[in-house]
Amino acid sequence: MEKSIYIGTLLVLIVSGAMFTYSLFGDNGVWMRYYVAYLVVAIAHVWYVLATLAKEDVLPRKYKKYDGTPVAIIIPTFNEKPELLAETVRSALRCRGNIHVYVVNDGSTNETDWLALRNIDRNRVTVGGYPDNRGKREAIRYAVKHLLQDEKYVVLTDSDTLLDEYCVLKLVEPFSIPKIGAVAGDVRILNSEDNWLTKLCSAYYWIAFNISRKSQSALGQVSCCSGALAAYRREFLARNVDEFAEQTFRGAKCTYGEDRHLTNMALRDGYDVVYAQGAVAITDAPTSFKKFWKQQLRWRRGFYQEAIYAIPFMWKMKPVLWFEIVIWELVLPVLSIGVFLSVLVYAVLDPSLLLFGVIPSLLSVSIIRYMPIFFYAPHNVFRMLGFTILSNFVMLWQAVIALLTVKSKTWATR
Amino acid sequence: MKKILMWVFIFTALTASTYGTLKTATNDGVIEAYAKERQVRSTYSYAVFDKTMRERVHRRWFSYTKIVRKYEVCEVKKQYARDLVEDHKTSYIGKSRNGSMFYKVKMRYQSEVRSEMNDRKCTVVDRPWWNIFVFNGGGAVS
Repeated sequence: MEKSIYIGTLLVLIVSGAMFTYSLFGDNGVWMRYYVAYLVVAIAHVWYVLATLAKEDVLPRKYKKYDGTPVAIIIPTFNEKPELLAETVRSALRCRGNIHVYVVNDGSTNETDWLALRNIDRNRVTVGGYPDNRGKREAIRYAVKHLLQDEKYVVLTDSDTLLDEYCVLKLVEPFSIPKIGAVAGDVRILNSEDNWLTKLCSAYYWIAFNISRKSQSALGQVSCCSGALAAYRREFLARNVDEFAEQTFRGAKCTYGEDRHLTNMALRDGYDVVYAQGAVAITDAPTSFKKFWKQQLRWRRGFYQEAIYAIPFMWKMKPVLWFEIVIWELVLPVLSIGVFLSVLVYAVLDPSLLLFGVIPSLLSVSIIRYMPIFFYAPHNVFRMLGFTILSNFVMLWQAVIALLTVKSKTWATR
Repeated sequence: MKKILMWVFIFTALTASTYGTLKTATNDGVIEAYAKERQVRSTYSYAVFDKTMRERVHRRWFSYTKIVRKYEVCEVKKQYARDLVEDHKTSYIGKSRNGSMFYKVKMRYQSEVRSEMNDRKCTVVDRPWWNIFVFNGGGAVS
């Protein structure tokens, strides 16, 4: 099944390229039909996103106040800078709620003082782990199976992520509704003022969480609870952690996309997955383009891998999300490759078109798509426009590379 | 109340942009026969596709009028356009301030008209492509 879906996606890519080539040499009418069909689907997507976002914004879900239920915060770590790791643990301990922090050493070889880490608060910090590096999935499995005590909810975060004081409260409050099995947090950028790239990333993150995830949350079908900040019911994790840790994709063991996979498993088990606006954590964004490219490539691969995993069962569990994954997330960006190529040809023939046509059109489209940013995060407007340029001229092509190398096992950011 | 007003504003803008995009996308190609020199086509092709947008482009981004005056081809275009309308292959869209007229071509006649235009050494202005980025799919943040 995985193979068929993967081949199907490649075929869409080939069709897109073929249509582009045909538009250069063949009957223009065929291209027009292709383009109009593409456009109708794309416009429908924007309507859907903004409609669900409006629903979530005007009529948000109501939850009961946090009742003191024990919460575990799991921090897997591999060769993290000792000062940053200690600061992460301290920020977790500052969170309100009945919490216990579990640090899992995933075979670090640096000079982290594990005892000192535990001594930050001996009653609320547990350090565990193993000598060899096994990856984040194994670290989560180890914590769930060997470290947790009586906690009912589990918060997963990264070793370089600082948590806001109210973050845990906001994350676990949705669990007052039994059908909700996982909650995505709001991840922002710590070093957003470092350079042009981190500035653009701050807008990118804002859009990803406060438009995309918030929109998906309206129907309880967030497609990815970010690995930097997410909460799950312990019973769900305990039931699925072995399958999660041993996931394979087309015969190879998976080394990325663990956050999407865990989210998909929650959706597969019939849970709703929601976004908790205001459950804020801050994390570092890559400061060089090379690192950013690698990070995005890894995320893209994880995205394709998980989209292919989810298609067979999502139709029954969350049909709207299935449609979103298949049409809007898997097919549409791939189809847009051909459309974008044809525009680039025009732009090369006459470079002034870039300035007067292509770039203004890109920016105006982004303004429409992301209009809530003007009201909720006006400081990010120009950054959003900058990211639009980066996204369309550079990152769009990454989709092709990721699709063709989806089986690569390179971890890529470390 | 503020939120509701905000969303009313957003959906008004979305409706307008959807209407504009689909309207131009279903125009089946726009012809303008004012230029003899085909090599200048790409310079102004995106300016001529829809009356409202054309005027907007005209005013804000570059001097479309100058291009038209430069080639002085309004008469050529008018004569040819009349033939096309009589054959029901095109329909009239509008007239620019400088007298140039715009027609859209029905899809099924597109190849034929394009070929005929080439024979007459007129310029075929392609479908506006500068709105094709509209809503071009999403990305993924992990």
